[in-house]
Amino acid sequence: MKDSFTYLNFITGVNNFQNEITNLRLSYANFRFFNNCKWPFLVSIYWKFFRLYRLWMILYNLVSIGIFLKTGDIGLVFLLKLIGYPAIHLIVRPFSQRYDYYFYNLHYTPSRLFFIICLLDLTAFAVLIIPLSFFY
Amino acid sequence: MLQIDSVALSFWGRQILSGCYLHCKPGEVLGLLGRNGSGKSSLLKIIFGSLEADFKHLRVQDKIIDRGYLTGQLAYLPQQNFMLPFLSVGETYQSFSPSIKSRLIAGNSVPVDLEKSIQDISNGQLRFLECLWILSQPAGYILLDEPFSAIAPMQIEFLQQIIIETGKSKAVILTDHIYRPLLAVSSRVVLLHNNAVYTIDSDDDLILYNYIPNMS
Repeated sequence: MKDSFTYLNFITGVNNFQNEITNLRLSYANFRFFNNCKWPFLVSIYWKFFRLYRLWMILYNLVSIGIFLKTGDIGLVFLLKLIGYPAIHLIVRPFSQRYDYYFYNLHYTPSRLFFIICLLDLTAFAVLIIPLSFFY
Repeated sequence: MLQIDSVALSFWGRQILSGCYLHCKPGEVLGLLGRNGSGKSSLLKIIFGSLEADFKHLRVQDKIIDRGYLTGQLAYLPQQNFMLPFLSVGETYQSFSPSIKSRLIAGNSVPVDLEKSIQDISNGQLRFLECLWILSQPAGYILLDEPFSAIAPMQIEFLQQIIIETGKSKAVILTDHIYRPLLAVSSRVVLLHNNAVYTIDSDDDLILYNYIPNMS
């Protein structure tokens, strides 16, 4: 009796586990990033938004690389970058807010997009600068 | 159904909207008229979620929502130009819905300068593209603020056809001072006057509320 009970528990456990896996797969399928055709759409959105900021972002990245090559202090460079993003946002905002409705109509707030762009920029910068720091 | 109720909005102590009610259901084109400063554009912005009201009660398909644009159910054409200046006309044309594309082809109205960027075309052409882009959005509720302004008569006629077609399956709320084309496409017309929404059945009602002059 005990064995069959344990066995039942075991079976139920497996079933629950399978259900969880199925649910997980379904939720992944519904998750926007993994949905078909969403990636190119998202990339195009970020690219369109980045084009409003690209002059300042490229300039700031060059300045950051220059500071790193001069001081060799990676922590300082990242700190300056984190401080610089809100400054770039404030500089470009008076110009970019004319196009807010374009992004609103694609269900994005400009601040959310800017946050994602900053994360992508910071990641790209880290990928470039961290290997450099080993040779510095 | 979209319902907005008890809207209160004031700027610098001046009451713009106070307690007005508006509703629109899919399959309906609602024409919203009103004098300058009556709060039409503000009301549309409040529905879309880009303008914060002092108070509002907005429901879309029986769900209370705060910022309409985040739900993906609303699309809004603002009064000012909003398309990104570095996009090309061709890129914008590609994002139009298949029905609009086929209508443009049938009407021989496909923009000729597809390689041109948005910033290089005229204000009227840009406005026309923006209207079509908004009408192509998959949202179920379309809000159009002055779609006929700065647009040539031929394009107004084209837009009217698209609005009527869109209004068969979606809810369209449009407002414009060029009221003849608006009246022609609207299945229901309301007038925003003194913070209240009045139903308009004929031109006489517009004269009654001093929206148009009495010419007789």
